[in-house]
Amino acid sequence: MKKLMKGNSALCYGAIAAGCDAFFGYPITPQNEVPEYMSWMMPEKGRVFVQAESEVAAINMVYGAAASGMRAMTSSSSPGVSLKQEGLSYIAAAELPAVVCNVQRAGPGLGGILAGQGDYFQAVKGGGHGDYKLITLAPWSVQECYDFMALAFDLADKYRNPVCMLLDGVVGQMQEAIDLHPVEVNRPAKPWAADGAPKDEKAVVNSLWVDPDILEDLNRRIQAKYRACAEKETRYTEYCIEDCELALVAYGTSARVAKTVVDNARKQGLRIGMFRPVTLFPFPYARLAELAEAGKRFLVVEMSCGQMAEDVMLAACGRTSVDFYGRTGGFVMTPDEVLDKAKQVMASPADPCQRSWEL
Amino acid sequence: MYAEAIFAGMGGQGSLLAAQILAHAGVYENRNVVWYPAYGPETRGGTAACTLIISDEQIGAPIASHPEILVAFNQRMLDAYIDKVKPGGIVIYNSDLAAAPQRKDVKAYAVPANTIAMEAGNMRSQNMAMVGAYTRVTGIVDASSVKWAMENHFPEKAKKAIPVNMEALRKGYDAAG
Repeated sequence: MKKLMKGNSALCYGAIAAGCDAFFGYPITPQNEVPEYMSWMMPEKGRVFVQAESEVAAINMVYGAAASGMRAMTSSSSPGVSLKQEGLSYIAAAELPAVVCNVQRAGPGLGGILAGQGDYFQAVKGGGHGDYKLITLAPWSVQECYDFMALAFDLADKYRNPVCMLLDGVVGQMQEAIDLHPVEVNRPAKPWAADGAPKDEKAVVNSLWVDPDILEDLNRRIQAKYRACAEKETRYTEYCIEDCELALVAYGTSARVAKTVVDNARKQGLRIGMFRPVTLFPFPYARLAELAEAGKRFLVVEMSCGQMAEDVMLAACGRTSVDFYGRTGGFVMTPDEVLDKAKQVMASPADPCQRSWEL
Repeated sequence: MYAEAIFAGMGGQGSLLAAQILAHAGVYENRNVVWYPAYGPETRGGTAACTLIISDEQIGAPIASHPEILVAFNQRMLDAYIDKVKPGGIVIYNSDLAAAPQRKDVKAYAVPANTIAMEAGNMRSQNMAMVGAYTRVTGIVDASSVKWAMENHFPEKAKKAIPVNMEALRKGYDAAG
């Protein structure tokens, strides 16, 4: 039988199933169930759990554990994830696999403890210093919180790059029935790991390269990985898209609301559909470009002031109009609000140069 | 079948647990279920509300903005949520702590939850009286599934209180008939 649990708890069950060896974290609302559950689940399996003295310590513990070849993760919420950015840049530069969960709350600053989606830029555009990206997965259900953890660890290992699980407070706090099915785990050998085993060549983990030739080579190698990742790993789902005039573009909780909006709109005979990016990096630019080419308009819905909306505009590239509806402060938009906005958009002429961004 | 409900009370009245027991009953019946607490900085003595959605279809928005069902544990929460209930909706209220709602376009069910809980033997079982009333009035989940949920998903520290709560559940069910 399915089990009722929170998204936060599902992340833990998913991590255990994915063979996570070590968890390092520090409490913050609304992700506290993650360290709480891991504090008993990990020792029960003979694995490592450390409540670090700070978020900065936690991410550097992840850095060390990942360097030794372990499947390592941390989790936090927005302000805490900001503190981890230096470490994430180092991990990306050292080409190490790791997983970081961000159960986003409302920002900026310490903000509030209710849900938000204002960390999109931070997650998908790098976040820390230098040219790197986090492969970013955006679950919209408790089931996906479980399912995507194995995917996150696999992608991290495959591309030797940190992976972000980007949730929001609603996905983390809501309970749904999920199937804790066994997951397939693809765990490659890690000859590069500084694990103490005898090697022909010394395993060196480093993110400091004072020789500009070596550093530029590193940047080229990392960018080539991201191009390969974009080709192979871009994921999205579509709902009532084929015949739609207007596609709502949303992820996480906003996409859950958008799904209800589509159902309500269809009952009124309105041709509205939904496009949900599942990987936020790599972003599904190509598919959105096709939809723009086919004449569909976009209304981006986010619990932010319009962040993913900029990527949708890049994809549309002037071929169709991109409008935006957002709520902040911890509010989740209601289906009625979004449907009103959608009707207003559909009643106005499609002009790629005119945007109505509404907060 | 798709039913959105808001359960609302003061911290300590057990409104969140009430909805959670029903959520487990929904899972037991292989339904899609969402339980989402209106979590905030307030806890004991503050307000405690949550969304409960039970559906045969995939559930979209996880937060009820215009529920079909309101289960209000006191006057303050009845006042806070009564205007959100859909016309033709169901309002189940604790008649020991709230007066009948003024709205004429909803079906209101009075449940003397405190009295029932005292008779059952523990004041804290008032939430299960409300669960009993929800089960009877809505018919969304079967009473046997609710009993199963109580037996299998009651908080560990409250296991010995199950017989008292089962009694409150039965009396709440009867009161809403």
